Amino acid sequence: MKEEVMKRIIDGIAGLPTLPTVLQRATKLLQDPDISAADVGRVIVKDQAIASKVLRLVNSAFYGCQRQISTISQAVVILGFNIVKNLILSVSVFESFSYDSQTEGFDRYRFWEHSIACGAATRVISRHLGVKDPEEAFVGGLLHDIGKLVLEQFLNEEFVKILRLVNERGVPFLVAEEEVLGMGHPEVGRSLAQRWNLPPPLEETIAYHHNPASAEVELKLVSACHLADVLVKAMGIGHSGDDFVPEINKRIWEGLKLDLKTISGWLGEIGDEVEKSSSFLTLFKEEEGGGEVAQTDT
Amino acid sequence: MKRLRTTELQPGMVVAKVVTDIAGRILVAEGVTLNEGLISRLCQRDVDVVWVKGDGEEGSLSPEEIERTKEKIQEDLDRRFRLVIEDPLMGGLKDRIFDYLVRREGE
Repeated sequence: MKEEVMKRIIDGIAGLPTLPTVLQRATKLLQDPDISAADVGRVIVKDQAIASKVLRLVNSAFYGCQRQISTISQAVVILGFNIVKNLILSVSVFESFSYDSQTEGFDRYRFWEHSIACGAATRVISRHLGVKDPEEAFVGGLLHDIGKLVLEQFLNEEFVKILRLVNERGVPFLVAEEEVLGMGHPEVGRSLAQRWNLPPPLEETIAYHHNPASAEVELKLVSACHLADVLVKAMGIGHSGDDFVPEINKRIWEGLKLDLKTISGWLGEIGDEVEKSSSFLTLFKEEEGGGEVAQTDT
Repeated sequence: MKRLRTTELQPGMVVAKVVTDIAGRILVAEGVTLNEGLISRLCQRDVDVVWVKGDGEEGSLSPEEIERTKEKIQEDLDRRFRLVIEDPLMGGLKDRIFDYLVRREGE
């Protein structure tokens, strides 16, 4: 059963577009010590759809820039290549899953609301835990449940059964997945991360956000995402398929020497960051946008 | 200006105070005229009360309204934590989240 499910998932994922060449080229450029921001801008702006969305996001409250950024080169200079690269990745993922969903009982707007909030919360917690790259942490939180979208798209009949089990029997989504498929969305998401050659810390975050103690590459980042998922669900932001708050993993809780007072102190900051991150929801519904054209970097 | 429960809203009413979700994100801006679509969306997003223009009580919430808001937050938390509430750590977290959400609602 599990092998058959995995084969269908892998066949489905193989049909998804690879992440844009623009991301691969830009990442390669970064490894060249003589490269300028203008060079990077010239590469990214070749994909106008991505460039315009990236520009909209860099000008949002989430990045708190004092002045308008009008070109990708400016964004690279002001915010750094790492932020721009992670934004391209985020935008590309939204584009890859922009199919029209008709699954009854699954609201993709609220799914992204949960994922974006989780990204924002992971970024905040990562800063407190001393994770070396909080921007990558945002992407990790954003993508942690991406396996659910793979299931919705390629195993829709089973996905509907999972939702039904959650609603009728009141079991968590992960438990229902194991019952229907013999595997869960973390494993499915990991297959996608491998297909897309995502960096190991992101692959681990997707694979182990329910079981962070298994992480080997970036334990703190995976733990931050695990805690973010718990807190965002506890605060009732968005909906990722069920509304049950998962239990905090005691090994990471003790390992990171956390306590409730510390977590309590983070809640206000997380709430503010989640509020600022709402600009990412415009990627899901392009109600206000669409007409923007990125300024060229020539 | 008056404060109405979402179920009491009618198309044509004008929003007097920005409506936000539980995380503080704007759902409807001040001055927007409500229609059936917007009202239905507010219900779906679990918005409890909305300030609309018109005659009515001004100012802060009444003690009954504060109590009702707290009850609603508690009820939502009971539902979300129902599978983990026996765990002392999760019970403690629930109390902290309750305090945070009540504080946020009051701001």
